[in-house]
Amino acid sequence: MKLYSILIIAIFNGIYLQAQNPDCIFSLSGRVTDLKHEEPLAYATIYIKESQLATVCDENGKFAFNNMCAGNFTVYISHVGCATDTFFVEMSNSLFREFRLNHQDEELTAIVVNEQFNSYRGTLTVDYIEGAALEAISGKTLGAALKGVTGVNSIQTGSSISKPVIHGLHSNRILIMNNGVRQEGQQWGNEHGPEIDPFIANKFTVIKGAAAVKFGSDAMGGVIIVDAADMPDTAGVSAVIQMVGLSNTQGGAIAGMMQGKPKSFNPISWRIQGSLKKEGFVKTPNYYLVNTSYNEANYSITTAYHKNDFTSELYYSYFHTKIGIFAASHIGNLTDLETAFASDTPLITSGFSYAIGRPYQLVSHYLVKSKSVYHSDKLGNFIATVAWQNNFRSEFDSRLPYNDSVAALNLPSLYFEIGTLTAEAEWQHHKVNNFSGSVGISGMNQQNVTRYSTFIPNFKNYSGGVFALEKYQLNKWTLEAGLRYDYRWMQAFYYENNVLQTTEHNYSNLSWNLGTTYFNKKHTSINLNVSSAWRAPAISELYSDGLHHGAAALEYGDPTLKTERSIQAIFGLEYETQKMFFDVGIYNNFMRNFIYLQPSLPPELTIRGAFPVFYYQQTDANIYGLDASWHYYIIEPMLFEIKTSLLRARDLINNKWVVMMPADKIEGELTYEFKDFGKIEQLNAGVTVTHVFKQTRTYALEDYVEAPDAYTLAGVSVGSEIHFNKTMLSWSVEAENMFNVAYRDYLNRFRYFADDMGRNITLRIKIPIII
Amino acid sequence: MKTNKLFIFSIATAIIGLTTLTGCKDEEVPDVVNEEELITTVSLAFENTLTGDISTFSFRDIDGPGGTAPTQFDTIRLTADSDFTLTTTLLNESVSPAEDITVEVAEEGVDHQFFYTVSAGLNLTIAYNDTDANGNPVGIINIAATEGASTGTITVVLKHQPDIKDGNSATGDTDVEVVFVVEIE
Repeated sequence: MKLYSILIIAIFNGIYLQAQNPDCIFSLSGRVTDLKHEEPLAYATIYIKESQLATVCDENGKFAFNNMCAGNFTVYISHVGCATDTFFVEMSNSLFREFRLNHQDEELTAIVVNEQFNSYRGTLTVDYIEGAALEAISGKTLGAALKGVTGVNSIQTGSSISKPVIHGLHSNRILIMNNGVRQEGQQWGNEHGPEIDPFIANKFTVIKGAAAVKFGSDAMGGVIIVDAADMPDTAGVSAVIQMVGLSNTQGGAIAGMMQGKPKSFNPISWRIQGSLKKEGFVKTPNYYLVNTSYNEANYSITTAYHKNDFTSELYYSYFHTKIGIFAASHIGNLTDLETAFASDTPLITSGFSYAIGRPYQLVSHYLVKSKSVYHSDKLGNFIATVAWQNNFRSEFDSRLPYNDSVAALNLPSLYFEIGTLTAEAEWQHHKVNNFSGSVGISGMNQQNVTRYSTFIPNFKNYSGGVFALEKYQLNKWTLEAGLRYDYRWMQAFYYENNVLQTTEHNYSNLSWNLGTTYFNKKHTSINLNVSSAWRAPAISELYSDGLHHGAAALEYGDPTLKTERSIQAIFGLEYETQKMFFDVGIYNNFMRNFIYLQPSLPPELTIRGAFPVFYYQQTDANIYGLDASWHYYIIEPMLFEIKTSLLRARDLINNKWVVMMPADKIEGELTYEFKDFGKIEQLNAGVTVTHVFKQTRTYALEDYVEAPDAYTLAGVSVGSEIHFNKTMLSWSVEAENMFNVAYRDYLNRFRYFADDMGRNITLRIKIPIII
Repeated sequence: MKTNKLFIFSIATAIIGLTTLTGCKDEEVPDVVNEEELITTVSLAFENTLTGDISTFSFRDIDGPGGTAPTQFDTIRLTADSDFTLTTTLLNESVSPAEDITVEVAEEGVDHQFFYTVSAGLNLTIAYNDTDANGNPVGIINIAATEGASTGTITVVLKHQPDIKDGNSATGDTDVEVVFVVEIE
């Protein structure tokens, strides 16, 4: 983190020296503090747009600019862990001003890096993607965007559907917080990608390991937090336009954001944001993947009211996508599947097109959220959040009904509609005698309707939870303990031989968390966290009944499945010097009643041929692994980075490996930062090499085809910022799979049928506009 | 003043909590099984061209794939050295009255084709005897001929091949695939 600041100083230094002017005699000095806790923010970066001056605060958040001219100035202040804030200053004399940076997201203050090197993030293992790193992945799906984080992979259905995997766990075992609200859709499906527009995010936070006390059940493998930027807190209007173009799919994305705060009615601020995406057929090195095009259109509107001690925010977002499913991957039966596997190239190929035909998915997600924060000087912060989200998913099979009048209706083969109301209230008390913490209560009400299929039943569920988290800080040590109780009631409705069946399920459990961090200001940080989390079986695990469309499998749920519980320990170590940064994380996750799909022989005979049969079963599993990274400055502007993720998962009862786990991975990167010249700043170029090993911990009898071979991909990138007409335009060009290697990835379901994406060159441009 | 705000805040929170627990609309009862169109029955009718005798052999799975096992799965028994007209019928018997899917297959003949694969050693030949609008075979009506006594299997496959129908049995979606045991005596 400190490296980052040093880098910024180095970059800004040049400008600072050349911009001094003998006619300007004033000074602007001040202090940067945290709005909520009013504690100084050390090493915040301050940039004055008009005079192109920059500096970094000292340990106490203090800074000073000398030789300032009179006039109006725009001041940007950024700090690791906060979004960049904009302030306006009128100079007619020398000034001392206090700038307060607003951490909009209360949830995060407990874990986000504040003040000094990671001392505030609690005892969890956390990674962030923001700023330049975030810009470098813009235009990617959420799952693909997070793959650069060690320990994170993605489970894919081609390149348009990808779901994040944290330490081997995904879907219902990780939680995605979309702007402070837990994302609720049909998470159980491997081919159901998260319904979130990544362009909304100003920052991604990945918590590796269970964080169930704070975020509720299901957060067993980890939590992904998608956060929008803070609302503007000074008058004026600004906008950002982002454009992404992709060579492989001949597609791209355009995203725009506009925000402001009226001068006349000061407490109000607003933001509108939207994005459009269109991509055509994916091209592997040797052929196109027919029908892999997709479209996406999203927008969101935010308004906030902030006066004195009270902040309230109303947020609305809409996500809509139409995703074509690779024609040759939609399989009628086992014979089709075997024919497809036997062929090196897909049975259906064609030229390029943007057309989306059957099979395809149509998904919409609506979210309305209201969040209010009341800040009391004596007692702390009170936060209340209520959110309503509605998720509509239609899956269109390649096969149309024979009956013409039915076919003409163009109905989906599967349709799900799930509505979720969540509410949460939390009290974060002020630091008292080195103790800080929060207590909270949350509730959820959910209803699901399935049509045109009985693969999963209709259901409704109510759940509620209470939690308390306390942290004790003494010198270099932090101790943290948390406890949570959750209750879940679910009722399912389905037909058996045309008779309506109604069943009820009750689940209740405790989650807990114990952790400690040792933080040596100069070099070292150590954290150890032991926690326990649980989740109720997902609806598909309880009630799946019959043919899983497109997957050519018969899947059967088990309504008697018990809750899954995990007890895990994570140990993290970070060490840094002027020239290098090293971090390593070691984890062990023991999961009791781990739910998995067990293949069963013989295949079941149906009128459509034979189908393999799978039953949901439970076992005890142990997942353990290591994530490590090492950054080293070979010479000052040249940074070498190497990172690796290793993972093993054992089924302890059947004494074998758990399959569908990510293969080992090692990644190396070399970046060179050029000196600024003219209007060009932060010009950098990089080379990346990624090697993914073959997943050997699989069983021939339990998979249709063997796991794919190891592969190595290389990439290059170049980018910079350019001063352009009062704004700072940024651009980058990135080439992925530069040598157009034909490969298949173990976690991509398309590996059964076709190669992965070939060479792809992406151009990204970001233009901020201050109006 | 501040306690007042806190009070309002608590009340608001309580209301939110209550709303969550009392829930919203109740739309929990599912539609009566709105299952996709099913093919439950495949029947092969062999009409002896000499005697006019018709023997029908069926595979029947009333609730479709999964659930209860197929209720009928006949062994096809044919007399040796005979000629037959083979007519294949698909039914949806999960609805009442039963729906004849073959009619729809014939109407969309350009997108469909039956494939009959006879196992080695079985003295049976099957040839198409119908055409779609493009003059290609559909395979609803066929000519079958037996020779000496033998046993084996016949695999009946119906492929849905929109825009790609070219006589290749490997492409497209499989709507039907049943393997009948055949005894020629």
